[in-house]
Formats: sequence, structure tokens, C-alpha cells
Amino acid sequence: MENDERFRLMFENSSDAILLAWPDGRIESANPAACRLFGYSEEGFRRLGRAGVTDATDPNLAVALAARSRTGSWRGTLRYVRSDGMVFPGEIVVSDFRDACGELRTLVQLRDVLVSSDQRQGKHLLEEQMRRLQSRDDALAAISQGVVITGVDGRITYVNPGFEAITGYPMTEILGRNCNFLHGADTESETKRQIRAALDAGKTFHGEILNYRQDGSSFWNGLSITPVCDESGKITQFVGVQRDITARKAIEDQLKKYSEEVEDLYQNAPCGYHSLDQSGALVRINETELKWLGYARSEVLGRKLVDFMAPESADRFQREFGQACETGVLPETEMELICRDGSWLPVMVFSSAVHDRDGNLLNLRASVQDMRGQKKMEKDRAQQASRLTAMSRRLVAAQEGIRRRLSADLHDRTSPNLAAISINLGVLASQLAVSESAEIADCVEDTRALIDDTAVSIREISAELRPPLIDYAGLLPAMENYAHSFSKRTGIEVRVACLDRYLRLESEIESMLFRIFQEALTNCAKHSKATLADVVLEHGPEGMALSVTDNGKGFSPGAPGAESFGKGLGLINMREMAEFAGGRCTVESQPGKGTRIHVRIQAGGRGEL
Amino acid sequence: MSADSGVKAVKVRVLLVDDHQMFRDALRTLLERVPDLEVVGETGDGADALRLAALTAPDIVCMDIGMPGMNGVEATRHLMAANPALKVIALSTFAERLYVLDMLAAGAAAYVTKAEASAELLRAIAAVRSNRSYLCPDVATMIAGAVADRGQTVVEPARLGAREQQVLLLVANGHTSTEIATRMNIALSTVEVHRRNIMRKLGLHSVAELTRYVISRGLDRH
Repeated sequence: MENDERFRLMFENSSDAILLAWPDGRIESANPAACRLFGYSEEGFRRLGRAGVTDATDPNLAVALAARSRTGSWRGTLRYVRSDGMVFPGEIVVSDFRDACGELRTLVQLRDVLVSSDQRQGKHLLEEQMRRLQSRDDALAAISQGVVITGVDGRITYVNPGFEAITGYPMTEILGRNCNFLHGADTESETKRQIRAALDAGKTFHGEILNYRQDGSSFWNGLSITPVCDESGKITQFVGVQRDITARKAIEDQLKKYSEEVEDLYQNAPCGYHSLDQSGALVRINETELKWLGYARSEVLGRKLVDFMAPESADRFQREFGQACETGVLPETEMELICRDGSWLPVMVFSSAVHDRDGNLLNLRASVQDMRGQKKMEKDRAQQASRLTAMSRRLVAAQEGIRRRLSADLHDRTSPNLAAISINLGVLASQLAVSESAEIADCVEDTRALIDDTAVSIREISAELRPPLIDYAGLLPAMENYAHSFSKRTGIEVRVACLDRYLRLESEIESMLFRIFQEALTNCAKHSKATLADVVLEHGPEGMALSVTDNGKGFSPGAPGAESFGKGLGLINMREMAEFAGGRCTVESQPGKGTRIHVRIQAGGRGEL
Repeated sequence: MSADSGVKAVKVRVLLVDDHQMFRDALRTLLERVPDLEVVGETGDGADALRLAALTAPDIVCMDIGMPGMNGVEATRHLMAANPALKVIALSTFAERLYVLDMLAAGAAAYVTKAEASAELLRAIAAVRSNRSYLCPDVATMIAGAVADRGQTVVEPARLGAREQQVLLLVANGHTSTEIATRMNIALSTVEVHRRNIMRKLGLHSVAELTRYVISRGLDRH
């Protein structure tokens, strides 16, 4: 039978394994390729049956059997077990047919899909494989990766559709060409060199290279090139597999850029960053803080932060750090770090603790703020304040100088002039009386009255400018004198106490204290309804203190009623007078509890005038 | 020498000590019109006063208080130490208690404010010549107030001038300042000046006190 004979030839000589079986799984015969593949004799196959050579755990098995019984054929991959127990995937084509006797039989064609296996006559199979590649095997044609095969001379002998899709070059245009048409302007020559070196050495190359498509656009090529050798070990071909990794590369680049940005931000932020471990040693520190300190990273990592602190800061930090390790809370801390050049760097440190899942302290992260600017600003402000203070004191002194000069001028010139004019008029009047010109005499007397009144007002102005008694007798006698006439005028008893009768102070301070004393008594008379006021003048090592305490009705400082107390700007005046001269004035009062005005000022005594 | 020797031929010798030239000139004019007074020297300096006193042997020294260098109080102390019989009349711008007490303590026999100098100085000289002390009315009022409670004067108040007495009467009789000005043919402001001077001289502080004073003196019945 011609058909039978042809089948027999194919059966015996096929490179694929062929099994002739029954649908129930019994195997009738196996060809030599099957015996080679599985390592069983034909008799062995008959004995084992389908169950003995397939992997029972393969879920595809049931699928395949069901499909076959329904349609009469199946094509796919099943797992098979060899005689040595090794499991391998086999591509099979199963088809049912009726034999001469009309009985249903099954033909199984089977091919091992594993490419390289030294256990299976490597060379033979490799050649087979290459042949299959060369003959545009379906699988190779189907995969999306690009495959390119060249001869040893680098000329392309085959590309798959994947390659065509990735590069845009149709195979027909590039067969026989060298692959370097894929290179372009930005292809790194170093990568090209590495490929050359690997291939020259007969080694596999794996790497990434920037290639160009036919349309000129570039793409990142994830490239593997494997040399293929014949049985003598001579390289006959190169197989290149390429993937377009441009998208992955872009994401990688972006990630890299992002992490570089984060790193740059950490390193070069306008504030310092560092992390301490549980022992307080520096485990991380950024460039900014290093630059401030003037140290190299290697000089500080592993060392304790306290080693870089000024002594006072270190003491406090030790205490706070101990607490922070327990509580996880470190308050923001001002400290002074010592730079490499020995200078001190004032900083503000904000810390936060980092814990693991079990709540154990891992490290303490801190951001560090340079406070030099702020410190300088504070210093400038303090300097400005002290300049202002000095200026206001100079102003007070200058004002006092002017007052004294005016007072002296009035006293030394104007008053005696008036007195002299008055005397002269008196002389004139006595002569006029003789001549009995009553009208003129009246006029002269009126004039003298004018002079008298003027003299009095000048005396008052002079005393207001600078009470002459202060210069004549001192602050305390001047106060006593004023208190005396005040008592006479108002009926309020005033007691003036001072340990040092002959105390002399800078003239503007004497003046200021006297004026406040006057203002306090004036307020007392106007508002307090007091019957007694105690004035105490004290001179201690901290300076002068003056207090005026009355037993009047008092008031609530800050309450609306307090305004009326300050009528004539009394309270404000006192405070300003004291502050301008460099002192402080405080007012204590409570309704029904009297009022106490207290002035304190830094003042040295002065020599006897 | 002595102030009450009674020998008319011998003039009372006066030394003027004041740092103000114009005032000294006025004083000299005033004193030289008194027949038995003689100004034997003048200076504006406390220390120079001691030298001049030794040189001119005055009976009376008219002594300013506020002077550059040695002040009047100190000069008086030195002069009195050298010559306890000397009569020093303090002549000062100030009427404050402390100056007066200091001067009296230093040995001054009289105290006259410059504002009242012309008539009062002559009264003071007359007083010291009879070995009496003298305080001009302003000072007397103040000292009396210091001694007495609440400033009620117990001494004879200051002498009021003729014009001041006129004004006082008119005020006491209920005339307004404008009426008084018209009546006396003087400016309103001059009336106000007279009123202020009156109150100051009498140690009074309000029109009510002024009226009380007038009634108590029976001046309103004129």
C-alpha cells in the first residue's frame, strides 16, 4: 500500500517524535526520534502509555484531551516526562483518524521546544535551530523583539519582523549590510567600542545603545549579541536580540533626574541638614552645613555632634538629647557650633525623630538654620537702641544746658537790671514828690508796680527752667524747700527722706528727679485727696531711686479713670522724662490704696559744685 | 567805729558787693542821696570783698548771694569772723527760705530782696544802724508762714504803695478791674499787675481772701 509505505518512511525518519496511539491513551508504536527524545524503547512506550510520559499536573492536559475528543485534533504545548525524570515542554500536534479497520486512532507529533540542551546532541539540534531561524520560523517571526543575524563579517543575513518594526528598515534593504547603519550622531563611541571588544573576544554583549531608525529618530536599544560557534568552536554567526527600551529609559532618566534633584536639594538647600544615630554621632550631613563648618564630610561623619559645639551648647544638648532619645521629642534649640577655623556659628536646630515599626528610635533628623544674620540684626538693633539712648541722653543734657544758661541769664542780667531800674525810678519818684507833681508820681508808681510784677514772673520762669536752689544747695534741700511751700499751699504734709544730705548728681539727672518729684506732688494735689506724701531719695550701687508715695484714693492703672489722673500729661511726662534721661519710671496704684511713683536711674555722683 | 555813735560828722561807711555793675550803680545813686551814708567801695566778687573790707573798714556791707567764685553766704561768714561788729545786709534776687536762713546763720543782720531794694534797703540800713535785725516784707511773710501753720500771716503785712492802696479799696468796694482802670486812668493790664502785687505782698491767693482781708481791716467802710 503506497500510503502505508509513505507513512512508514516518514514515521521512521522524521526528526520529530511521532507516537501512534489510541484515544484512551494506550500507545501502539513510537518512532526512533521519540525513543531518542524520551529515552524509552518502543516497548517502554507501550507499557507506560500516555499517563506514563505526560506530566499529570499540567492543566493543559485536560484542555487538550477535551478539545481533541470534541474536534478530533489539538495543537499546543504539553509538559512531558523523560525516562531520567526531567520534565520538558513539548509542542504537539494531535489528530484523530480512522484506520483501515475503521477504528479511531490517534497520531501525536511532538517536538521539544527547549533550544539548547547539551543532553540532546547539541550540535545537531543547534544546526536544526539555526536552520529554523534561517527559514523564518513562525515563533521567531512572531516575537516582538528584534532579532538580527549576521555572519562573522558583520553582514546581515536575517532580521525578523520585530527588527523591521523597531528600526523601520525593511529586511530587503539591509540584507548584506553592516549593522552600523543603526548608529548616529549621539551614539556613544564607548558603547560601540565595548561591543566590538566583546565580539572580538567571542563573548556575549549585553548593554544599551542609542540607535537611529530609518526616519532619523533615535531610540534606546537594549541589545544582546551572542556569537554562535560550530562544533570546532569557530564563530560562524552572531545573533542579536534587541528591544526598544526608550520608554523605560525615559522613566529611568526621569527617576534619576528626580533623585538627583532631591539629592541636590538635600545637599545644597539654604539650610543645613544632618542625621544623628542613637549615640548622637553624625551619620549624614549635607554640603551646606559642611560648608558652614568648613569641614570635609569624612572629618565629621561618625563623630558626635557635641564635639562640634561650644561648651555651653554642648551641656544643654547632652541633657536634651538624652530626653529626646526617650521621648522622641527634641525642642528646637539654639546652639553655637564651632567651625574648623575656630569661629562660632550660631544656629537654630529643628529636630525630628525617625522610628522603626516597633517604635525604636532609628535616628534624629535635623534641619539647621544659620542665625548669623539674625544675631547680627539683633546686635545692630541693640546698637541702634543704645545709640538712641545715648542720643536722648545727650539731648536731655543739651536741653538742661540751655535751661541752665537761660536761667542764669535771667538771674544774672535781667533780674538785676529790673531791680536797678526800680531803684532808679524810686530815686526819681522821691524827687518828683518834692516837686509835687502828683500825676507823674502816680505814673512812676504804676511803672514800678509793672517792674515788680515782671521781676516776679522772671524769677518764676527762671525757677521753672532750673530751680536755682539745686545748684545753690543740692537736690535734697531744693526738694525740702519745694515740699515746704507745697505743704503750705495745699495742706498736704510732705516728708522728704534721704540718707545723704550732700548728695550731688549729674545736673540733668538732678533736674529730671526734681521735675518728676514736682509733677508727682502736683498730681497728688490735683487728684489724690491725700493728706500725706512720703518722698524717699536713695542712692545705691545700682543708681538713684526716687519714690513719691501718697495715702490718697489711688486709681486703677490702665483703667479709663487713669486717664483723668494723667491730666496735664503728668504720668506720661514723668515716664518720658525718666526714659529720656536713661531711667525708668513706674506707677503703682490701686483704688483706695494710694499711689506710688517710683523712678530708677543709673547715676554716679559728682564732685561738689 | 560804731553805727550809733551819734557823731553826725562821721558818715556810715557802706561797701557794695554785687556782681552786677548796673545794679551797683543804681544802689550807689540811691545811697549817696542819703546824707550820712558813704559808699566806700564796691566789688562783684566775694573774695575781693574780704580784701576791700579789710582795706576800707566799712560799717555796713550790702551783700549779694549768687556770685561767681566765693558766694555771698561764705563771704559773710568770713567777714563776720573777722569783724563781729560788722553789719551785713543780704541783698538777693531770691526770697527762698533756705537762702534767708543760710544768710542769717552766716551772720547777716538783714535780708532784702532786690525787687524791693530801694525803700526796703534804706529801712534795713536804718534798722541795722540801731542794732536791730530786719527782713523785707516778702521775706518776712515767707518766714512767718514757715513758722506758723498753713501760712496764716501773723506779722504786719507788706507796706502797700499809695496806688496799691487805691486799687485795694476799689477792689474791696466791689469794682471790677475795668472800672478801676477807667477810674484811675490806667491800662487794664496795669490794674491786674497792681492786684497781683497786692496779693503777693499780703500773702493772699484769691479774691475771696482779698475781700476777707479788706473786711477784717475795716477798709471797706472807707
